[in-house]
Amino acid sequence: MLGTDATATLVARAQRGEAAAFEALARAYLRAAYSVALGFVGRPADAEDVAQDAFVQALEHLDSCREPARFAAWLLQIVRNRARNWLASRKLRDVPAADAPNDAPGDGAPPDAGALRGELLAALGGLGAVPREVVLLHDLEGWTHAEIAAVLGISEVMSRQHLFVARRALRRAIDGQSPSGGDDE
Amino acid sequence: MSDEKIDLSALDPTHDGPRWERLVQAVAARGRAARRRRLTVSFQLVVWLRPALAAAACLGLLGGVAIATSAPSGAERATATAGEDPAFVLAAWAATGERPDTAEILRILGASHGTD
Repeated sequence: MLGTDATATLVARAQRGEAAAFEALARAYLRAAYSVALGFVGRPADAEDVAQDAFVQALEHLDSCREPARFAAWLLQIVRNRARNWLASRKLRDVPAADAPNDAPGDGAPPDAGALRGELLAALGGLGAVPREVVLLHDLEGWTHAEIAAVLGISEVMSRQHLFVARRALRRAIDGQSPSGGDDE
Repeated sequence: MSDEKIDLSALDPTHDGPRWERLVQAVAARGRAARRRRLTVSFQLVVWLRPALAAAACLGLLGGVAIATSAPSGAERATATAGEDPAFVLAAWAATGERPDTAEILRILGASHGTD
């Protein structure tokens, strides 16, 4: 994750219309947006769509970002809102996430990545929203607890606690036991 | 141990590097285009709205000035009305015993016809 100063500078440059700044912001934060979206929608292809649309929306309304240094928190809130809307529309369409036809791993993924990914996604689905976001941002994105706490508006201690709960639940779920940790959403 | 990092690399969308890079560039381009379009629309609105508002304000101001200068004041209107009202004038002549000449009477009655 970029530092707050670097992020604020990039946001200011993007607000002035510098093409390179848009790309740098996307490069720095699109993956985090994808992770958060994935935690909500549970399907990689849909998470990609949600993350892309949310990111474009954020870039379009960049002037509404009142604290450029907190761009990540602002962006991820847009992603959450998008993902919730997407879930609501999926509920209307009544399409189960498991039926996704286009969730095959990409060309660069290991051969058994599909099965493992399915297990992980199912296990993540059993977590509460906050522990899920914490474990994805920490273990997938590599963010620190300080960064996660700043973005989620929680304390570092709580971030650590959520990570502990999420990891324990994920391990149990992957090992075939019933997951816990979904009750603290 | 729950303190050990969970390997979530199977969920990493950047496994396919070139594809992810295309995605990043596409998002940046879409965002930039959307922002430019939005700013253009806003800019055009401001460009068109500002003179229109200024013209409307000028018209309103001119109208107000015209009304203020052309319309008689309340006191003037009352005096004029009282002065030209034949009934009022005749009553005043009767009360004061004034004896107007024919031309004056015709003028008052003529004014009465003219205004009615």
